[in-house]
Amino acid sequence: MLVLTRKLGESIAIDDHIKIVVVQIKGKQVRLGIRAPKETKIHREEVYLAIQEQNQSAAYTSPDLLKDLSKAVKG
Amino acid sequence: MIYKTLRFGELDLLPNDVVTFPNGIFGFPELHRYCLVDPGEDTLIVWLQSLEDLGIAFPVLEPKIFKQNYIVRLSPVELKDLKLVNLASQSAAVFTILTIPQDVTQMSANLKAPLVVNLNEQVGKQVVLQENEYTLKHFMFKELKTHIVTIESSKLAQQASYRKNNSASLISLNGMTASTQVKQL
Repeated sequence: MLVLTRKLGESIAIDDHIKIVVVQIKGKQVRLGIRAPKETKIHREEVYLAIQEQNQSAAYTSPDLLKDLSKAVKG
Repeated sequence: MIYKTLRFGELDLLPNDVVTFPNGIFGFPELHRYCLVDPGEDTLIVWLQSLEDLGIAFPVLEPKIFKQNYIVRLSPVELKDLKLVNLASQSAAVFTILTIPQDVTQMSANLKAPLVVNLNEQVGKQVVLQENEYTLKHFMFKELKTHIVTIESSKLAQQASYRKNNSASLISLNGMTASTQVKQL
């Protein structure tokens, strides 16, 4: 992994079109500003972890639950 | 080819019943081949059954049923992964994965990361949408119930045109229609 040191207000350029700026440093928190073309998708990594967890629990859904649900939606 | 699934017994599949997810689904990167199964429960919920781990199946639902104005905006990379070169002539179906707890009224759909399936190329991908208003846990029991109660059973059968009978059956991709708006970002 490439590691770079940046000060407040300094930035990093990725390719020609993506720019990441250190906007604020407060204790253990760093606020980053990101400028990228609109077709670039930007997410916090936690989103992917949360999706994985949700998929893990959905993958083992019991068919009986769907039978219960079938009753509940018609009741 | 016959697959002996945990939930639905034996399924006899033709090659064009199979959807391939080249990158897998988040959390299951090693599973690539799936088919769609209608459990015959009249809830409009169908299952995305893995053909490589026959114990794995995701309950999924088309979002138009509970969220009419839902739009899936895809990046050029996502469109390429899905082999969607022309959105006007190709059709893509959209499904949301459901989380169904013991209290079924607390069921939710993942609107943040829907499954998109290119029906022409039989390729699928789970995408993560940028929109903040789409959440991972969109509660929708009430909307589903309203939808099912509003339309009479005859209309329901007609709407689910790919349904065959009241037992579990395979859904043919050819018979599916795209109902959710898919656009380029």
